[in-house]
Amino acid sequence: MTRILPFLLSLMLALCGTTLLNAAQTDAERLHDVVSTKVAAITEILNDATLEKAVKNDRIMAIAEEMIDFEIMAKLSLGKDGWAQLDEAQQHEFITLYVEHIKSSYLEKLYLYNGEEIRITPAAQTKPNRIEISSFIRTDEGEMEILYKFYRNRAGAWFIYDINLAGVSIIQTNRVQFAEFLSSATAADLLEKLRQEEHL
Amino acid sequence: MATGAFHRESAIIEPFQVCRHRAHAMPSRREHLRLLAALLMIPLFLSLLNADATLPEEGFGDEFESEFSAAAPAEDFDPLSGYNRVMTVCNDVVYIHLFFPVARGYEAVIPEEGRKAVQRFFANLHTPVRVVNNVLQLKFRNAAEELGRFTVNTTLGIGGLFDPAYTWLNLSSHPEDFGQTLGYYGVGSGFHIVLPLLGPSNLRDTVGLVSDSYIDFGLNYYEDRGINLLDTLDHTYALESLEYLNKSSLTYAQYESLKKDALDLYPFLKQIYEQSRSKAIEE
Repeated sequence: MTRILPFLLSLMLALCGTTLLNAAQTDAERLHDVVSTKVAAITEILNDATLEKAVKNDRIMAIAEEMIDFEIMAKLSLGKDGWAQLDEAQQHEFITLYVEHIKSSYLEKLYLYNGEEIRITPAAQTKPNRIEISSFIRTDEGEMEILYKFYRNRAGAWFIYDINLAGVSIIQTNRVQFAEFLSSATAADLLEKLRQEEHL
Repeated sequence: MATGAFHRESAIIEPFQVCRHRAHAMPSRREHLRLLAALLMIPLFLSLLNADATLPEEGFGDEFESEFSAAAPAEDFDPLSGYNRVMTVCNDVVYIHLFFPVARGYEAVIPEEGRKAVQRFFANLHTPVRVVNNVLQLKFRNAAEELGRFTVNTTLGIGGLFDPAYTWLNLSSHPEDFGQTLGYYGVGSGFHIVLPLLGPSNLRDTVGLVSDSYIDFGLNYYEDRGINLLDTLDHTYALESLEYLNKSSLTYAQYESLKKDALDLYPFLKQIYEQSRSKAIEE
């Protein structure tokens, strides 16, 4: 028994390790392919001069929604403390308003793209439930990094929860803004401000 | 039920008791088994760890909260916040009502390719700043690449208007400035300063800006400096204005788009500036 035990244990360990590694590798590789395909599809839509802007927006959003969790982005932007200051109805309204805001901001940034060369690097699994993928846009001043941060949700699907543009985290920037705003104003003021912005 | 549990327990304990008897004779084997027992726990621990990581976090999993609070700026020392706010608004008004309309006019006259060529021309003139700062940060390979780019682009690229160094030789630019060099050696950013017309900066980067302008002999005229490409300070002002106008024509849309994401412009631009500078220094 004692002779077999070490063998069995090492076998168990090896199996355990390789399954973990394999799972990680395939997820990261798969996400890399997903991002590459979707980025290519979106740039193709952007470059298509025959399409109207409204059609472009719809098609791009359909692709983006398969990859980006806009709701979690809205929630994380507000942060745990900010979220707690809103009652249930306000939370609901916040999500509706802010998801719209993030979407239109995302679309607007995409239209700044001007056919530059894009390079996507292999995905890095930073934690069992986190994967990061960088893409680099070639500009005259060097390369600009766009980092997509994925998390694995309850259902086991991978979604983007934050995007870093040249080192600037969308969520982090929003969190600081919201925290500062809420330090001198109420949740109702915040929603009012977001409502006004929507009508601009 | 209870007896069943008892039996299972004794069944687990037994092999250990057996080895305890033997342990007197061979202590090394006892140690060995203890180690094995510990090892047995590892897969269990790993699977627990993995299960923990996939716990629901559509709400505010502590993991998300700690991720962002860890990255959040620590105690924010902002002694100039009053002045900075005013200057942010002043800059914004000047950009929106003066510079951007002029940039739009310029944009209408000069095609994009032309404006990009002008930008490359200025970037090429700023090569000394990038070379010196790459060297100061011991990035000799990048410095050499910058020198190679300068040689190729100044000659074959007609004074830097074109970028054959990248298209033909795959030599990339490595922007570094003295603010980044100071950051590289651990100098903190200091408090935030919004500069007139130039926008967000901080104490460290403002010092960097002044130092860089002295190294930047291609564009900045200093009477007491040995080398000057330009003859007078007026030429510097004229060329810098053109550079600024040209750059605005290529970037005003970005500013306008960014501005829409701001609840409050000053903290928003400050965040963007400080985060992107940290990233640039990290590289």
